[in-house]
Amino acid sequence: MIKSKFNKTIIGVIVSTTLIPVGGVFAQTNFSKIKSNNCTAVTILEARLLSQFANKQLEIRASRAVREAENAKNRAANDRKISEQRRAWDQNLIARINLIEVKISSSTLASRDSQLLALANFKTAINNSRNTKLTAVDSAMKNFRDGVDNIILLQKSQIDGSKLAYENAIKVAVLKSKEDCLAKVSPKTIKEHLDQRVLTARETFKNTVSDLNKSGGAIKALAEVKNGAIKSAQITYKVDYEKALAELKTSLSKN
Amino acid sequence: MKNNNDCQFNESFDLEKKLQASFVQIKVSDSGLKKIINSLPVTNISPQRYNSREGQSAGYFNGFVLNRFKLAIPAVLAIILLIGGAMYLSRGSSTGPQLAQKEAASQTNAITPSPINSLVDLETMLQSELNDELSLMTLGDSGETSRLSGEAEIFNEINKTYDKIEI
Repeated sequence: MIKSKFNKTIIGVIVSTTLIPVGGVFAQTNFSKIKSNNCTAVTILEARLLSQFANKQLEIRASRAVREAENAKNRAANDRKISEQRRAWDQNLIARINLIEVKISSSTLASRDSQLLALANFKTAINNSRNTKLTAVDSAMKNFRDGVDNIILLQKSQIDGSKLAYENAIKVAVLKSKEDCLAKVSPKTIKEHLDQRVLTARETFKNTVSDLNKSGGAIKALAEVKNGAIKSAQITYKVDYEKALAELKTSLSKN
Repeated sequence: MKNNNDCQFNESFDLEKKLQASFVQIKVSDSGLKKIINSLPVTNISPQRYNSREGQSAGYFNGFVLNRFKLAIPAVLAIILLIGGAMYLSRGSSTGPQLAQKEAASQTNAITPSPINSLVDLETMLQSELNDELSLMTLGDSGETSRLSGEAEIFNEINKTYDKIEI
């Protein structure tokens, strides 16, 4: 968490240091302030905007890289925990079964051999059912993560698409201003047209990405599907386990 | 006869006097006295011997107490030794390898007659494992959901930047 904030801060600093000089250079060449040579002003404006777009793209890329690395690290940590826990469960189960095996083997009961056979059957049944459950659980987790990845990918492409559309709209607006400038249109009209086009581009950008918040619900739904699948696999395993255990119990009850 | 008797009496009287005189002059050393006393036969009147072990306790009461202590001290020592030994054995039997053997034996005795008792562990293990598994599998859910807010942040940043663009 702290590292994440630190990374974000670093990105912010890098981006700020790259943006500030650019803004500083072009701040003096504001379109509305240059009236003597409108065509030059438009050209300078275009260069400033392109620089801003490029810097923003760098910032986004860096931010996403940090987020993706963090996500991959979290997933790996979770996988490691799950893997360690599974190993512990397995070892515990094997130890218990071995203990029972030793006790049966050391008994002098007539049914000793049949009890050992019942225990072997129990082990096989549990192993098979356990593997089935693990496969189902892993599959549910993979589906969930893939689903989230797809949602994030879709969201990214929406944002990137909207951003690109906005930038293109601005570029078109600037190009139109250049044409107006060459056509000796008055600076006031050029400015009004440019403002209008930029405003339209901004509105379009905001509206296109307004569906972003709906993705949260989609991830929640995916999590529910995943948890439902895990519970279902667990129920199947539990039924198998209890059945095998009941059979073993019956066998061990015999003398 | 009378004279004869008187003569005998006078002789014995003289002898007694001589003896008394000689006794007064006799100085018996401690070691000599010890020897004399030890050579005397033990009687009801003189049950005690004068020896180094008994020291100066010549009195009857002291002798009685001393005799009782002679029996009591070894008895107390024997009891202490017995208790100590019992404690040592008891402690020794519940430490180290002996303890492990004891535990193993009690465990085996507890379950060997019926290995079915061990199945209870398998039952409890199952439910605990399933609960833990579900928790582990939902552990990353919040992290995955927060990825969306990451993208939303990016969008907001773009939006803010573009709003500030000066034309």
